[in-house]
Amino acid sequence: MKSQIDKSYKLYIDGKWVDGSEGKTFDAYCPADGELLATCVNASQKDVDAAVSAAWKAFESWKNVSAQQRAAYLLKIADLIDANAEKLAMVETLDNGKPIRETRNIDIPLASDHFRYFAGAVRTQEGQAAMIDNDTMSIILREPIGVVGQIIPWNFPFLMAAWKIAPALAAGNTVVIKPSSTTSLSLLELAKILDQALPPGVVNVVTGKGSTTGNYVLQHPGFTKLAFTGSTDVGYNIADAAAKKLIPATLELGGKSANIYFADCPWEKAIEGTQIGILFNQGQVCCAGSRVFVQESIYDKFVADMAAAFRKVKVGLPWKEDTMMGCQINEVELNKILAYVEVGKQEGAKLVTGGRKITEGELGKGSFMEPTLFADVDNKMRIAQEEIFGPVVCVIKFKDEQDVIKMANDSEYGLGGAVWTRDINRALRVARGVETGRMWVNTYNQLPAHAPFGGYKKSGIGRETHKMMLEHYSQAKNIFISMTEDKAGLY
Amino acid sequence: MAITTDIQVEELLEKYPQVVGYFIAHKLSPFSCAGAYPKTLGEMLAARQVQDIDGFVKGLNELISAP
Repeated sequence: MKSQIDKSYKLYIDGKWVDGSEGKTFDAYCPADGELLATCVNASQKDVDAAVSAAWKAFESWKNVSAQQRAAYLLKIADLIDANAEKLAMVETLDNGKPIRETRNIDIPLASDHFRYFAGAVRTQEGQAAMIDNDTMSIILREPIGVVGQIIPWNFPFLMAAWKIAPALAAGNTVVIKPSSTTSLSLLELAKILDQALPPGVVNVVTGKGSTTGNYVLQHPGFTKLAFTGSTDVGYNIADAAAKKLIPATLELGGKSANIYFADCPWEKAIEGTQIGILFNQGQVCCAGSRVFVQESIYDKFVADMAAAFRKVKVGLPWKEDTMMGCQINEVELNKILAYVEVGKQEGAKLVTGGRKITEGELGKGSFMEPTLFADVDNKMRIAQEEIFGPVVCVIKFKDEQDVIKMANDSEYGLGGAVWTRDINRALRVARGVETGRMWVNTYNQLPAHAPFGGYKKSGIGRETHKMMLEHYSQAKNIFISMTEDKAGLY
Repeated sequence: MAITTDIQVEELLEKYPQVVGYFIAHKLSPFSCAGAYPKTLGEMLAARQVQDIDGFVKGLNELISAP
């Protein structure tokens, strides 16, 4: 199983696998058992320079590749991902700790679909033309921005790489991308695929620590756009770096999303929806349904059924087929979640189930956490306002629509959310009323390529997924034409 | 080793993963889906407008020195 991972990985720059210029490395460990998986390069400033130079050199030809040809490249990448899906799923599971059923059925297939979606979307792109007056025509075209610096998080490394790379390439840009040092391996495996599919330098992968390589990427003057998925705290640094260079930045940041249940919700589906909302990927999801609002008339039974459902969840080694929830990304993250559990208890929330690190048996070596449910939470409590980023849900009682919309909006974030009801009018009113970039109705955590995803308020700037990303990764060129031989007559 | 404001947050968490609880108790999160905060402890505390930085660092040192 672990033999599918190379013992060491190099940097992927200009279509070649190269050593780091300073010889510095870091180790990648499996969070489920602590075993060493691989050694990766901690890229230096010089390495990032080389990657940016390679990307600019490649841009000179890539920007002129036709949309038809770019689509063909993306389709080839998708086909190669599918052909290697089983290996990629296992690498992601070993490096990240998420269950194999998720990587096999969600992360990897959604990633290949993302490349296919943008292969199609770029073929539909058309400019605009307008007659300003009878002698004057205006043509609007989209042109690529240049070289994009992309930084992706550890919670969905492979899928977030696809979210970032596919639209950037489709729009005619070239890329330097850096994974989190916590989970670099699946992107390095993707680089092997890109190496088979793309001309040299179109995508360059630099690995390394955030405090070194990450900052080199942020500060590098060679980028003409930055794209980042991660926390709001770090998002400020990205926005600051982009502002200093006067370049655009797409930011997909944190959340504390409201998952709202009315008395007429479809019960069994609704209970499962709370699990999908907070237990998927061990709750390490920026749009996790971490605040569950339940109407007062069904509150007691709903909490009881939720708790029973949470207790049935099989937490296990992530590579086992029957595992529903794997392990947290590392000991630090687990300690953070456990600290929030203590905060919740001190604040007076009722710990109904979970709240403990699993120390028994084969899970004892990893960072495994019980699915955790706090009830009787006040929306003002820290556990309801701060992003815990683990399998910890806060259940909050509400009276009516106005009450729940007000509480849902009492958050600095606005990324995801859901409303569960059989009343379509109410569903639409609540979906419109909650200040968030994505509201699901009677479902949760579905993230297809075809729907835009991103945040209001401190959850980000710009969107990911959907063909509108082609606008994020391009700039408008206006060609303004005078079609008359006549002078203007001013001079 | 005494912790100072010059230490990278990343290095601090690698050496002392238990200190994350101290940060949370002080309403600070040093680790997220982006990884460890990618700057020094001093830079992070300044960015988060912590008033008593010396006191915060002193508490951290007491925590790692505790038996």
